[in-house]
Amino acid sequence: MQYIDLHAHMSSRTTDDYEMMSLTGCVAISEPAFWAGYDTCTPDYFRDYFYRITEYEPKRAAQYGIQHYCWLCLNPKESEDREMAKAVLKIIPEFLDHPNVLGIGEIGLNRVTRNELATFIEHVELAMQTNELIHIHTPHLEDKYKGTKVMVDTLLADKRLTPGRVMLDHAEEHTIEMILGNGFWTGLTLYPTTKVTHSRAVDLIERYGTERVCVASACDWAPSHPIAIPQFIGEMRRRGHSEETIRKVVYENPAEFLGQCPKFKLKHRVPGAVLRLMK
Amino acid sequence: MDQYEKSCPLTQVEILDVDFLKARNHLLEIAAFLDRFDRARELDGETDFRIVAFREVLAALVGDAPDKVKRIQMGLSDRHIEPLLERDVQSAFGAVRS
Repeated sequence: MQYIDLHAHMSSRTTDDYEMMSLTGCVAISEPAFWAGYDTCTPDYFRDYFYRITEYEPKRAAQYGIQHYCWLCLNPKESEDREMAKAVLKIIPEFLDHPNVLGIGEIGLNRVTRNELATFIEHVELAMQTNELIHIHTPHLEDKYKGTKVMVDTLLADKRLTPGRVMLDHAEEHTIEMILGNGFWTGLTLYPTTKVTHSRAVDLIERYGTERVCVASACDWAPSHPIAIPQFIGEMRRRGHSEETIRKVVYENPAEFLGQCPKFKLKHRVPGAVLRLMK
Repeated sequence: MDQYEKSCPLTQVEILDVDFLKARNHLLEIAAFLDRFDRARELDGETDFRIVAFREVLAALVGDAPDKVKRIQMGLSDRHIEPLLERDVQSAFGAVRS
């Protein structure tokens, strides 16, 4: 089955991973701006990094027939540093018009501090200036509920913002209701230990339905699996969910969310309705 | 929005046939972790916030009340929504450090 991995940090992965993803049906990837694993020393790093995810990664992905898109920001892991944030926010507009840039992301909160929130709001402001899509990281572990609540409240207070153009990613059992209930899109991140396993992701789909829900591998340099989506598909099939339902989650939904940016155009896309007629 | 009862298309026996051994293994891993903790060379973590929270949320596993995962998640979550004055550490712990 064809799928779109809406969240994959491919600059942290090998070319073999692109091949595996391609062989298992991946047709497109979107790569949110990530954290290097340590706090960077200079904003100049980000000009190189943005060059990599706008120029180099699309070429690497194309070798395996995968379309590569990306998002730009200072990742929440580093957003405590206000001076760095201000410098990076000045660099981002240089790259926003690039054909594979879908919007601002993954912005968000890490430990949920005042500085992180200020940096988050400045990124939202930048997105609003040119009506960009927004991709948001919700914090890890004990900070997830708190960080999600703070960001949902902040976003809802901004009346310029359309929730349907915002993805609040990494939802879990205790945050999915407040995200979907307020009209945002959400993503379920398929991780082996943190976030959700593929079986818990299927549990959440069964309980909350398929509207405005996507799944992603969020593969990076930490424990993660670039073909987590095919594993999710396998679990959905095992439980007896229809091919149509599975395709909605792994292909139609990400295509609908990302397709709100006119730059996102899938090559050789076969609409779900045509697939049904072909059966 | 949330549908709880009968939302899984499998029967209970089908779930047991496929998932029981996996769940049994997870249960034994938890028990082994707690035994290992008791057998530690030094008993220096008895009041550590992580093990205290862990023991508290274990209660959600027993009994008939629904939404066990959500109750465990909330038991391990920081519910105070006031932002911190500044970042204390880079990475979260998995339970709330008091």
